[in-house]
Amino acid sequence: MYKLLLISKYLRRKLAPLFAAVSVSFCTAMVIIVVSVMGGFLGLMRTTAKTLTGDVIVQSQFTTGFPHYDDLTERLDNLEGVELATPVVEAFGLMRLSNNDQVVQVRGIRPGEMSRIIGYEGSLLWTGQDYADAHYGDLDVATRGKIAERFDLMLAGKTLTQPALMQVLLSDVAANRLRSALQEDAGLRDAFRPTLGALLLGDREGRLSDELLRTWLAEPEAEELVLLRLRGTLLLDPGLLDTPGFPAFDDAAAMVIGVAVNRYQRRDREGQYHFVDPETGYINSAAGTRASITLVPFSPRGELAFEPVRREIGIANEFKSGFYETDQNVVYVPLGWLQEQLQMQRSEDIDASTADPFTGEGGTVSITPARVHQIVVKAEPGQDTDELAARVRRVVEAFSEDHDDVSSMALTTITWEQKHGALLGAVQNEKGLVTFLFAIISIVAIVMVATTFYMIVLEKTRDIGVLRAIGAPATGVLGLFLTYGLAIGVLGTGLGVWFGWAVVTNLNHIQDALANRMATLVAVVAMAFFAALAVTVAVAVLRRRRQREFSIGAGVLLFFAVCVLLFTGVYYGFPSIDIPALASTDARIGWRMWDPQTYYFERIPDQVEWSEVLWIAVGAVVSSVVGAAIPAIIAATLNPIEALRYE
Amino acid sequence: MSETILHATNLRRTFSEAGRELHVLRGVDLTVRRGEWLSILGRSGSGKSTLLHLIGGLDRPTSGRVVFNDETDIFTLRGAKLDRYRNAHVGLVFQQYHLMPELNALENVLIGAMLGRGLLAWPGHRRQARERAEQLLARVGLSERLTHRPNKLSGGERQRVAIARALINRPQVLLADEPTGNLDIDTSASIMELFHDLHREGQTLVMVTHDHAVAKTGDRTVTLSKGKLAGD
Ligand SMILES: Nc1ncnc2c1ncn2[C@@H]1O[C@H](COP(=O)(O)OP(=O)(O)OP(=O)(O)O)[C@@H](O)[C@H]1O
Ligand SMILES: [Mg+2]
Repeated sequence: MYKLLLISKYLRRKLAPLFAAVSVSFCTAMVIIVVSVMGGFLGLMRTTAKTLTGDVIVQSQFTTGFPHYDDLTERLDNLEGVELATPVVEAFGLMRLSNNDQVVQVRGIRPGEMSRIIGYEGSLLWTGQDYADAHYGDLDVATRGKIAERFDLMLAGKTLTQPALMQVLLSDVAANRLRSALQEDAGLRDAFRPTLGALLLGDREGRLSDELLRTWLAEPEAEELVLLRLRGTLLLDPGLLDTPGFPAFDDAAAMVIGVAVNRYQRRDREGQYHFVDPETGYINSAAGTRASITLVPFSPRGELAFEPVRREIGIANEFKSGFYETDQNVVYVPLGWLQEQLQMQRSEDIDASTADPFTGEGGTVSITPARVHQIVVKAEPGQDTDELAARVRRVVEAFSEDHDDVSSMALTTITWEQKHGALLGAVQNEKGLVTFLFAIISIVAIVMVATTFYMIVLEKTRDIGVLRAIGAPATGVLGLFLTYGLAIGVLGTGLGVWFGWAVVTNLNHIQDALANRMATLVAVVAMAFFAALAVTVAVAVLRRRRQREFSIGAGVLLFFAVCVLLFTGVYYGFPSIDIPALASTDARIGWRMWDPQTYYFERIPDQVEWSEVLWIAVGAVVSSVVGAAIPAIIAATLNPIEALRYE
Repeated sequence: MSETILHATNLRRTFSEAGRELHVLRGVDLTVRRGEWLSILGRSGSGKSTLLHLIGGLDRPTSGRVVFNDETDIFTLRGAKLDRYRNAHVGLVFQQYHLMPELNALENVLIGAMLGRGLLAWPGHRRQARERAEQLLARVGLSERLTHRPNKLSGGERQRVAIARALINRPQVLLADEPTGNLDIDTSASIMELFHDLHREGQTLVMVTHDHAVAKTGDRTVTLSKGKLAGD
């Protein structure tokens, strides 16, 4: 009974337990925050690396690639534990975009399949509406909507193709085809006349006669103007694409580029990309323009047998994988298109020396099958990657045995972890360092907490002497102080866990507030501080000296509570706080603790791992109790008289 | 029941401080009879408190024994038994009072009663103990100070709370260390009055003092000097 009485008295009467609780809280919160954020980064690196490549990759050792990939893909598709396998061609290319040359990694993919492996569709940034709004902002909403519709197909990037409208808009060859079609087809001319008439003469009917139109189309001097107006007509009335007689355009290949491949694409301070730069009004995005790519084909024997090819290709969209390296270097093109450019498609060669010398017929036909560089395999959920890789390896061996022209040496099977060895090695390395830092922080926290509790119990040595002198058993006294330590420890830890959780989960909001609303934040915290101070003083005065310590303690707690509420409320409540006088100061000062422009990831990791929190909490409580136990054990085992003599 | 309640034989207590041995008690023999009021007189630093702490079971002698109620040497008692001895058989009033600062006067007195009982047994005794504590405090003239904490009490008042605490478990012997040492004459007189009353009710008292006049109020006086006791 005396234990309960004393614990309740100790907890209420002194500042010391309050400070001990606060110290435990802060230590706990500190460790939780550091562990969550640092661990979050490392985890993010790994997940991103994994989602970038698929789980297992079968890759050719040589730049020439390997044939019969359809057979291998099918075999792998049928393998247990495989969700999907898809072929990939990979090459380096020199890309010229807006007068900027750079080396990019060109990946030929089947977009639909790739999307299921790396979530590629979800990483595409722009829609047709973005494009229409940015390029044709002067047209009315309905027309822009129609243009957007036409562009959606392409900008969705799902097919990696370029629709007819896009081709006419972007390439003179296509536009000239339309011009010839118009010259030949009276029906088509009729369909074009109203809109074209309005564009040319400001007159929808009548004055632009078929006669006049034909002359205008045939004007050799005005080719540029003619093409420009035809394009304008299509933009104003995209429905014209569906008129009978409109030249049929095969779907042309288009590419999707990493958003940072385009050096003009800038991120804002939050790390977000915009189609149109909100500050300058310039169009940032390269989507809907064209670029040229120079590729170097290899012969099937790996010789540099061909001239480099330079190809114009439309940029269908931009993607953002969340991984800066990739966003900066990778462009996706259709698999077939890339095979063609690299001479990796199926081809037939006729040996002229065996042909009939007179007719030139009957030569030996040799067929070179199409080739790819990789097959990317996605595992079913829960499938162990290494185990799957081992089975894939066996399939690959069987495959190379079945085909004479595939040597088993040419193909290697690796897991995503091996593929990203360098990156993950760095992460692993960093993990060692981070673990070391965690260890130091934890030790500091443990020592801090233990010392605090050591002090608050040491201060009670004389009480222990008194209790022992009037007959309290040593174990009882020990139990009393252990419970005391435990009570404060649990209280402080609970508070610390909550505080740590609140900070971590709101880290991005806190950062926004610090970066954009610094002055307001300072003002609000200062107000909270003075409010707490006023309440404290009021309580102290009203209650007289009797419980001054208590009211100071209450004031400190109140202040912390208000601050914590403020921070957790940053997202919900804070943005609505608006002090007009501080707006300009807010804009000028501000501190960004995390600059997304310079890092792989845009957001600070804000997830709390509860199993880690559990360990941290246990550690905090244990160090509280151990800290309290040391002086309690010493004092309780002393002669009471010695404990009483403690100064 | 035996005449002798406490019997100390050949008590020695040596402190070693900075390598030097300080022989404070050099073989003290002392007998306390039931119901008597014994005064131990001695100069400051003569070892009176040291002796009292030994008798109270708070300290261990370098050698010698203290037998309580003709039973065993209290220094051979282990754990719970020694705690029980301190708690219920003797009541000690410290020279420096040693009250618990977080507890008010009433709680300081009650805590001795709580110690004897477990958490579950306490509710049954609560009322009774509380009544006794209030009676004791009333008796030492502190009815109006029940909820004062020690730092709000005067020295004499603290002394009296300490006396009430020592008496809460009806000890067979009350050991008082300089109960009037720090007090003015009037307050001293009232404390001595209280002791007289207790003595008359049959309470065995052992009182330590350096004051001849105070010592004389008891039945018997022994003098501690040079580490030994001399009878009167
Ligand atoms: N723990 C200790 N270590 C060293 N010396 C001690 C210790 N306790 C007491 N002494 C010494 O023993 C001697 C006796 O001390 P004690 O407190 O018993 O004196 P006292 O007779 O009660 O004096 P007073 O009348 O001033 O209270 C003193 O000289 C003191 O310095
Ligand atoms: Mg003394």
